[in-house]
Amino acid sequence: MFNFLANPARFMRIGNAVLPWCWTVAAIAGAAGLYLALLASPADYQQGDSVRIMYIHVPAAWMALATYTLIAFFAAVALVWKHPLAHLVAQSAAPLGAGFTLICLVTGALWGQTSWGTWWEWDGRMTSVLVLFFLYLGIMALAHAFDDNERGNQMSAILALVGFVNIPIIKFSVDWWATLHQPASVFRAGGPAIHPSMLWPLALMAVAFTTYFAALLILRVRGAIAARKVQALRLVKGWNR
Amino acid sequence: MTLQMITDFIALNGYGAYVWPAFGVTVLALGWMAVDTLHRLRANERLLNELQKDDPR
Repeated sequence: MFNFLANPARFMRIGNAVLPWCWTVAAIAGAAGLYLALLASPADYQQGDSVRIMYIHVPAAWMALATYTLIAFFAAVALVWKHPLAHLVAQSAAPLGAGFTLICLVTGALWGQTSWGTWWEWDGRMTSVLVLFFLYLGIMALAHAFDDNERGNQMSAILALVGFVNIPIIKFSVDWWATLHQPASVFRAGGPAIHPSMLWPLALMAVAFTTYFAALLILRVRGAIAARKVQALRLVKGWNR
Repeated sequence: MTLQMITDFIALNGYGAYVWPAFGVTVLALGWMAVDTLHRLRANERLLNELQKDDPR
């Protein structure tokens, strides 16, 4: 499966075929998710209507973690098999991951202010997610920090792999350390501890975020492949154009 | 739908001041991700087309 997609031309063909489906699912799930999140779902018995922030905060947090996992996977593939497309995918995913992490942090601060009375707390969960945000920025910056592109890609991939230790830290931070943040209520032993009327909008928003991410990732990789071809053509033709 | 219903919805029982900025920031960030992606894609594909036009291979 991986070798099959490792060919840029094939990746683009499959990507272009999948793209309209991603947009369609993102639009339908997003519209249904927003309707349920803002209008049809009940207010929380403790948090009132502020619980509606959950429907974007939690999917954004999932995307922040999933995107980083994807990057670490492709970084490993790039380092072990030296496939240039793997670097392109990792680099293309990084700004999207940073965006989702930023959404998670800002919506979390707003939610925190109204339910805990503070925008920010230097506890395990919040600090480790902030570290995740800086890891994304580092992965993006390192790739361009060297004159030699290859070296930049390698350094960036190594940072992505080393930084992967942060992912289980984020996941289990709420169990390991005293925190204001609530523990997991969906992906937990014993099944989701959340009522279907709230689980549905959450799931739909998660599907919308995932397919939106997939569509943008396909387009970003397409752009990166074009940029790579431009570089190669310029090399062939000499530097002066 | 009456005006009262709309203002009630926007107020969200006092939580509107937190909920709407959260959704607003999300829309802005997701929008920026799309704009940046399309901008890069177009710029790179335009460059590539120009280079390939000069020298079709």
